[in-house]
Amino acid sequence: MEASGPRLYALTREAAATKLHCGLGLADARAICPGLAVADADPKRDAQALEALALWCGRYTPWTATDGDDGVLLDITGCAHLAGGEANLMADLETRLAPLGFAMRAASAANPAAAWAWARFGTGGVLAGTRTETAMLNLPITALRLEPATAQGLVRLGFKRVRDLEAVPHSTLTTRFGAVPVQRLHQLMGRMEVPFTALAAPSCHAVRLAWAEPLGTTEGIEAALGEALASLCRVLEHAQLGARVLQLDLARLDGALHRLQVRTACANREPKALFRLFRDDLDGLDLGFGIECLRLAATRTEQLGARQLHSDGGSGGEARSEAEARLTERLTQRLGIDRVRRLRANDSHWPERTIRLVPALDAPSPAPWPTRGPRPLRLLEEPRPIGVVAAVPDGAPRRLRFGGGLADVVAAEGPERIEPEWWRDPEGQPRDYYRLDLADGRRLWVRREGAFGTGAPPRWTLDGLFA
Amino acid sequence: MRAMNDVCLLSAASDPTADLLALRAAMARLGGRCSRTCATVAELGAVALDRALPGGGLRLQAIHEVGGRGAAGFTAALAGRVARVRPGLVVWCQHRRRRRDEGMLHGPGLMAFGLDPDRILLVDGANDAQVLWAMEEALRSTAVTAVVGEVERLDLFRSRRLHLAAETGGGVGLLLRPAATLLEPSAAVTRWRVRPAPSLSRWPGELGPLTWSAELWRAKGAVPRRFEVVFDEPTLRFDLVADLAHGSFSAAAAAHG
Repeated sequence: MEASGPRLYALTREAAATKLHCGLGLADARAICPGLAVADADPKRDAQALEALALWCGRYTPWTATDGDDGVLLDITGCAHLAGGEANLMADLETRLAPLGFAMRAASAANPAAAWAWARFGTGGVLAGTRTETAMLNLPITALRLEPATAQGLVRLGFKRVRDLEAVPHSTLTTRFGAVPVQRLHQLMGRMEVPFTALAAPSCHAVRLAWAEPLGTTEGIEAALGEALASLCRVLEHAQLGARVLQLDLARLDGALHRLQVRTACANREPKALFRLFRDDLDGLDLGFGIECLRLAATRTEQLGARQLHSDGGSGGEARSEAEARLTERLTQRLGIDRVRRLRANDSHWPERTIRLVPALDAPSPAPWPTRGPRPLRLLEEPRPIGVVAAVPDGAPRRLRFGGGLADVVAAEGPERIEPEWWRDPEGQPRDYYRLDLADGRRLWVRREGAFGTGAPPRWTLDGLFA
Repeated sequence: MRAMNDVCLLSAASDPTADLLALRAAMARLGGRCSRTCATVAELGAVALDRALPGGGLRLQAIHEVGGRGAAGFTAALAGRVARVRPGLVVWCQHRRRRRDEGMLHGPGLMAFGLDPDRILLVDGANDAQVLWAMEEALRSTAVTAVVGEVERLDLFRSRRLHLAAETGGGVGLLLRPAATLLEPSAAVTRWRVRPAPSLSRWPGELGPLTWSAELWRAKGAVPRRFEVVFDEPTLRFDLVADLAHGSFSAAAAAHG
């Protein structure tokens, strides 16, 4: 029987040393330990903090991922020697994380499952060579990361340690508990691969700068960014690439991470132009006690042949398209990618679908515009229902009721019939569009849907404005 | 500044000769960059209309204000005329709220005003401040033909900033505003009060060209006037409504004479 009401979610190290345990009802916990201090659990923010921690670990290896609710997994293959070996890397990790208030235990092993088990059920530290197998065999069954019910079932049958499972034929285990325990066992012993998905696929075009003393001023960061951009652009030039999306990570001394992203209108590897895109965002940044590490990566690149960029004396057309790209970038950087858009023709005669709004930075090349009858300057996003008085049932409107008033129609042109696209909506009804001139000079585009005498009365809506 | 304008207007009324040109040149020097004589203009098409404007057309490197309901078409047509002399991007800055109320630009409809829908950059601002920022940024760019901004609140200081930005970039700023705001001070070179007017169709069942009653309400170096203008779609130019058709319409008649 589980206790109702609030329960303990996590414990500090001191609390864990008492008789309290996770899942215990708060009332019971208070009875055991009257002076208990509690705070509301916030799993969402915990997850965010864990992700931030995983990103922070990017200082050791580009392949980092969160692991469950309380773990971070680093693939340090080929990276450990940069920190002076696995043991030194973990020591460095511990000395850096301890002041930030993290209680941690790090383990390194030949495969992720073994490292996971050793960090939680072993003593932590580096596990290598033949020691791994014996260490793994001595771990309890729970180290296999099984569902609690499965683990309990195994324990009830007398399987206490991993070695007990290794001793029995695997086929009998599969019949009784399904494929998972055997699979986990193989993964733990390194006989089967463990899939690993990093938080962000690392870019192969990246620059990292770290300093012994943190940089505390915006000017310092700007200078460092300039330096990083220059060397990144050299790398890009060598690969004949230009950046479309750049990501700048600034690791603060207190463990927080600022991530800035800029997009360019076309492939670009001009340090000055790229720097301008970052400058606005850098200005308002909270640097805390200073930035200790900067990482700049081109997360999206495109082919860019060897050519001279930003020539001042270039031809007029080229200079203009250059200026156009700069303007688009700047507006997008400040307002957001969905707020600066271009109009593009869509291959459709249905008025709402004739036009597509695409982000100006990724605008496809223009397609020819349909020229099919007069079209309004503005199309209402939601057509407004109007009341119509017509001389004959199927004729043009003579008088409109909309916007809380009546308006006389002085001249009308139409109808222009538009048939629905049967391949999109087979139930659609044809529309009859009219251009109307009102007595006050306004010109409207109204439509009638449904014909007279076919059951439901026709519906009139105001679709667009001409002037 | 006000007094100087009066002097200019007086001499323009009495004797439009070499004196006037000299005076204008002198004023241009006084104003520093305000070079009315050498600034390029975009002709609007109708002779009388162009003659009424200082410099013989809509001045580039400046901002202009259009006030009134249903003035979006007039503004689009102005931008279309500018695009003929200065090809480039037309940036249309809009308030998100206003777009919901008044609809969004429709590509094929823009072509009727001489604008290429592929060369339109649509900017959504969350508020007036963002719209103004985007306008200023766009006006400063050399790639821009015209920047249309739908703004309600604009003070003299802000409009001066826009004007300076337009002088840097070389394009035209077109402010689309409610008619009531025309009473506020502004650095716009011309200010128009526009409302749609009934069009004249040649025969029943066909609509005539779009017509506006456009009042040149205030312009530096020009006499305020009212015109009945149409935008002729086949030739993409403004024209005056034939005065006979509308009975006596003194301003148009005088302009024709």
